[in-house]
Amino acid sequence: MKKFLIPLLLFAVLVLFLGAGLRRDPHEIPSPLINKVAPNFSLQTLNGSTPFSPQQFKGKVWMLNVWATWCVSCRQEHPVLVAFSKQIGVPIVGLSYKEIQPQDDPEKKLDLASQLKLARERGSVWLEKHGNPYTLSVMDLDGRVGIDYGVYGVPETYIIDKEGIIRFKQIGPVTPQTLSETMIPIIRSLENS
Amino acid sequence: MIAELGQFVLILALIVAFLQFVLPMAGSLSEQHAWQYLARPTAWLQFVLVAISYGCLLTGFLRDDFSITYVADHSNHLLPLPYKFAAVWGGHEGSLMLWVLFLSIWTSLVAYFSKSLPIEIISRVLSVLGFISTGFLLFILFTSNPFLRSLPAPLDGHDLNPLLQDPGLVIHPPMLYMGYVGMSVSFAFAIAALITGRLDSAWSRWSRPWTVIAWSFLTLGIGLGSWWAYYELGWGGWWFWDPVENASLMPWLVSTALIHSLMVTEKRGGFKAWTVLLAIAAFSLSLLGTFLVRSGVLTSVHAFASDPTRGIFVLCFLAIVVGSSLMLFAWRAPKVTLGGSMGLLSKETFLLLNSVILAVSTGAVLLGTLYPLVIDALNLGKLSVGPPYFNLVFAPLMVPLLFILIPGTVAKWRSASVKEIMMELKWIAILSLALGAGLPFLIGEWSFGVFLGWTLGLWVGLGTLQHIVQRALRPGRIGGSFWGMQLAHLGLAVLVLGVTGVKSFEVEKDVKMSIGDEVTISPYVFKLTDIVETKGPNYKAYQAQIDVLKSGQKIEQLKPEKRRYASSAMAMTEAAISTNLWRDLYVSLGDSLPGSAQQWSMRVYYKPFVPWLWVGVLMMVLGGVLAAFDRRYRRLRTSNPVQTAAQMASSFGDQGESLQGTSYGQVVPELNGLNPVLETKQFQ
Amino acid sequence: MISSLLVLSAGAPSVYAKEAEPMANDVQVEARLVHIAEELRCLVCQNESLSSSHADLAEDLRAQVREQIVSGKSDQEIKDYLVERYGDFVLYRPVVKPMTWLLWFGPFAGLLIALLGLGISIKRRNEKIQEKSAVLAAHSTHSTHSDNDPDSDQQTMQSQDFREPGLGEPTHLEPDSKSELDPQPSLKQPISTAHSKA
Repeated sequence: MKKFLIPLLLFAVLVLFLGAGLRRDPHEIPSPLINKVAPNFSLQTLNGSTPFSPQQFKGKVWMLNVWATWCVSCRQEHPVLVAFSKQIGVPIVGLSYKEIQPQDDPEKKLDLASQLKLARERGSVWLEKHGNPYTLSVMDLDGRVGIDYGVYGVPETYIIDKEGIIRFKQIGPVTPQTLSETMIPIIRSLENS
Repeated sequence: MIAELGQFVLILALIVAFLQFVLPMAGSLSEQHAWQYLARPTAWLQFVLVAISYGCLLTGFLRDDFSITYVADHSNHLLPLPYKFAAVWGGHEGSLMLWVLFLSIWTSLVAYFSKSLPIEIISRVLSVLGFISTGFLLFILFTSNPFLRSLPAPLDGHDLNPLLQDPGLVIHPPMLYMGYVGMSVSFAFAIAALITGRLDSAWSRWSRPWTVIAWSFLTLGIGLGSWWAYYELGWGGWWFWDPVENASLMPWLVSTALIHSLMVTEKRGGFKAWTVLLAIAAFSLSLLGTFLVRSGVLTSVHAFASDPTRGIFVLCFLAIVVGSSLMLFAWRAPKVTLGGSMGLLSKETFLLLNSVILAVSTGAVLLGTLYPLVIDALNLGKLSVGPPYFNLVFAPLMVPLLFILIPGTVAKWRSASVKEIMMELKWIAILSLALGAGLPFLIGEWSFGVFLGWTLGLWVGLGTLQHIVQRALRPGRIGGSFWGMQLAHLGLAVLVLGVTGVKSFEVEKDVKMSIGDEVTISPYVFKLTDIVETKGPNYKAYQAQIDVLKSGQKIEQLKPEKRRYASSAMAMTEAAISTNLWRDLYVSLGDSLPGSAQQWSMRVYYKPFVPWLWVGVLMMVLGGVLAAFDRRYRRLRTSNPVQTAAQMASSFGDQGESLQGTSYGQVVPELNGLNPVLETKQFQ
Repeated sequence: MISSLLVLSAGAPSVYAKEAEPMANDVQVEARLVHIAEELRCLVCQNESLSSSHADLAEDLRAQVREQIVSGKSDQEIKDYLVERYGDFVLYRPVVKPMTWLLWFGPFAGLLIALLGLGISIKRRNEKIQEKSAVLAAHSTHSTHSDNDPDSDQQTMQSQDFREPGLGEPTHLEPDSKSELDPQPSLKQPISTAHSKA
C-alpha cells in the first residue's frame, strides 16, 4: 500500500524545487569564464593613441567594467565606481561597449574611423560629466570583445588576477554592498597571493 | 467609486466562497445535515458577487478610468472597443479575475445541473470548488488587486501591448481558462468521491461529461493560441515548447488520459484509483501552470510580470490543494475495490496503455520544462531545454499512442484476440503503409519522418472511417458519444497529417524586394506592386501590396503591414495570409533597407497542410462537445434518480450498440446479482 | 543576363519582372546559419531562438556565426565557441552528459517501467479477482447480495467500495448494499434506514 504514497512524495519533491526556484533568477547567466584566462584583445583607447591589451596588466589585479553612454543602469553604478576608484589602488579598465547604436546610423553611412571618433567624443563628454573611474577605457565598437568575454548586458564587471585569469564576474550594476561583501574581499585575497 | 465597489463586492464574494467551502462540507460530515443544502445557494451567490466585481473592473476599462492603475497599465483611450473588453485579462490581476469569474460560472453550472445527485455528494463537490475559489480570491485581494488606484490619474493609459491587439486575444485566453478552470470540476468530483467513499461507476458517469467539456475548451484554447501565434508573430511558427505553452499542454495530455480512463472505470469498474489520480493530476497541472506563469521561476515570452510574493502565495496554495488531495488519495485509494477482471489483451488494457503513454509524455514535458530550474536549484549551473529536446522526446512517444488508437477502438472489452484484431485491420494497415510510403514519392520529397507521420495519420484516419462505416451498417441507434469519439479521433488524424505535411514540405524565402520584383515558389509567384502608407485607429503603417499569381493568373492580393503604434516604439509586423484547404501562402513585411534603391525585406512562405492543423483541432473540439452532450448524460438531469439510473443502464451498452433483442442481464452484467426488484419488476 | 535583358526591354516594362534577390549574400551559408541558430538561445530574450530574435546581441551573434561558417568551422565548433563564452545556457539542445542523463533517458526509461508496471498490475489484479471469486464460490450462494462481493466478475459495478462501515464518518451506507443504481432513498433519509425499494 506504500505505492499510494508515491504521488505525494513526488509532489513534495516538486514543491521543494519550485520553492528553491523562487529564489533564483532564471535570466542570469553565470560566466563559464571564471577561472579561465581572460580572452586577449587589442583595442583602441578612449584618449590614447596606442591600443591596449590585457597582457599589459599582467602582474596586477585589475577590473574590467563594461559600460556605455546609452546605458541607464550604468549611471546608477557609476558613482559607486568613481568612489571605489579613489579608495583602492586597483586599476579599472572601462570597456566602452557598442557605443554607436543602430539608431545613431540608420543609413550605415559612418565608416569605422568616424564611428570611433564619435564614440570617443561621446564617451569623453559623458565621463567628464559623471566622473571618470577608469585608468583607461577601450573602445569595443562592434561588441566582438564583449562576445569573447560573454557579455550579454550592460553593465558587467570582471575581476582579473595577476596571471590574467578571470576570478569574478558581476552581472548588473556594482552596488556598495556587492563591493564590500564580495568584490573587495576577492581583490584583497588576489593581491595577497 | 466603481473600483471601490468592485473591491468591496469581491470581499463579500470571498466570504461567501469561504462559507460555500466550510458549511456544506461540515454539514456532510457531521450532524448538521441542513448545512449541506447551503451548497447551491452559496455557489450561486458567489457567482453573482464575482460577476458584479468583474463588471466593475470592466466598467473601469470601458469608461477609460485611468485612475485605476490596472486600467492605465493595459488600456488607452484610442484602444478600439473590443480590445477594451479583452484588455481586462491582458495582465496578471485581470486574468485572475477572469479565472474566478469562470470558476464561479462552472460552480454554478455544476450546482444547477446536478439535481439528481445525492446531497451528500453535491455538497462536497461544491465545497471543494468553494475552497478553490477562496484560495484564488485571497490571492487576488492580498497580492493582485486590480482595483488599486493611482492618483493623480494619468491623462492616458499605456495601452495594451500591440501584440495583443488582435482578435486572437479576445478569444484565446477565455477559452483556455474555461479549460483550466473546468478541470477543477472533475477534481472536485474525485475529491468528493474519495471523502464519501464512493468511487463507483456513478462517480465516473457524473464526472465524464464535465471533464469532456473542459477538455474541449482546453483543446480549443490551445489551438487558438497556436493559430494566433502563427498569424500574429510574423514568421509562421505555431508551437515553441515555451514553458507557458507546456503548462497548457500538460493538463491537456492528462485530461485526455482521464477521459479514456473514465471509460474503463465506468464500464468495468477497473483502475479507479488510477482514474482518481489522473483527475487530481489534471487540475494540479492547471494550478502548476498558474504558478509557472506568474512566479518568475521560468523565462517565457508569455509570462506575466513576476513577483516573488505572488509566487510564494501560489506555491503555498498549490501545496495545500494538491498535497491534501494526494494525502486523501494515499489514505483512501488502497481501499478501493478492483472491479472486473480484464485480459492482458482487451479494450481495457488498450485504454490503459493510452493512459500510460500520455502520463509518461506529460512527465517528459514536465521534466523538460522544469529541468533548468532543478539544475539551477542544485547549484549545478544553468542550462536550457528547448524545442530540439522536446521534439526528439515527445514525437517518438506519440508514435505508439497513435498506433494503439485503432486496435484499441476495435478490441473487445474484457478479452480480445490478436487474430481478430489483425484480421479486422489488415487492409487499413496495408493501405496506410502504401499511401504513407507512396505519397511523399509523388510529391517528390521522401523522408522517414514524412513516411512515419503520414502512415500513422492515415492509420488513425482510415481506421476510424472503417469503424464508422461498420457501425453505421449495424442496426441500432448511435449516440452522440460514438460520433463524438470518432470525430475527435478523425480530428487527431487530420492534425497529425497536417503537422507532418507542413514540417516536411514548407518553403521559406527571405528576400529584398523593390516595386515590380517577384518571388517564385512554384507554382506561385508573388509580385510586389506597391508600398503605401496607411493608418488605423491607433497606429500608422506601411503596407505592401502583393499580387499572388498561379500559373500566370492572379488569384489574390496580399497586404502585409509594418505598423507603428502610437503608444509604443515597437514596430509590429502584420503578416498577410492566403488560405485554402490545402495550403497557406504567408507573407511578412520587414524593414525598408538602406540604400538608394527602394528596397524592402520580405519573407514569403509556402506552408502546405497548415490549415489541417486548425481543422483537426476544431474536429477534436466538436467531437468532445458531441460526446459530452450525449443523451445518456443529459438524462442524468431528470429529477427521478431511480428512473434515470434505469434509463442509463438501459441505454448503456457499448457506446451505442443496439440492445434490441438482448436480455439486460447479458448486456449489462453489472445488473446481475443486484437489486432483484429493479431487475425483475422494472425492466422485464 | 537578366539585367541586360532589362536594359533591352526598357520600352516594355511588363515583359521581365526581376526575381527578387535573397536577403542573404550567400543562401547556403544563410541556410546553415538558420539551422544552427535555431538550436541556440537568444540570451537577452524571453525564450526565443537566436534565429528569430531581433535583439541587438542576437544580430551580433548571428554575424559571428556567419563569419565562422564562412571560415569553414563545423556546426559543433561553432556551438563550442558559444558555449565557451556563455555556458550551456546558450544551447537549446542540452548536451548529453551525466547531469542530463535523467533528462534524456528518463522519459524512455519511464515508459518501459510504466509498461512493465501496467502488465504486472493487470496480472496481479486478475489473480486477486480469481482468488476472491474462488473464495466466494466456496461459500453459500443463497443470497446473492448478502455477501456483497464486488470483485466477482458478475458484479463489477458495486457501490460499496469501502467494505468497512464506520470509517470514521457517517456514510449512511448499509453493509449489505442496495444497488448502486438506487442510492437516493438511503441517502435522502440519512437517519432512517428502513425504506421500500422501487
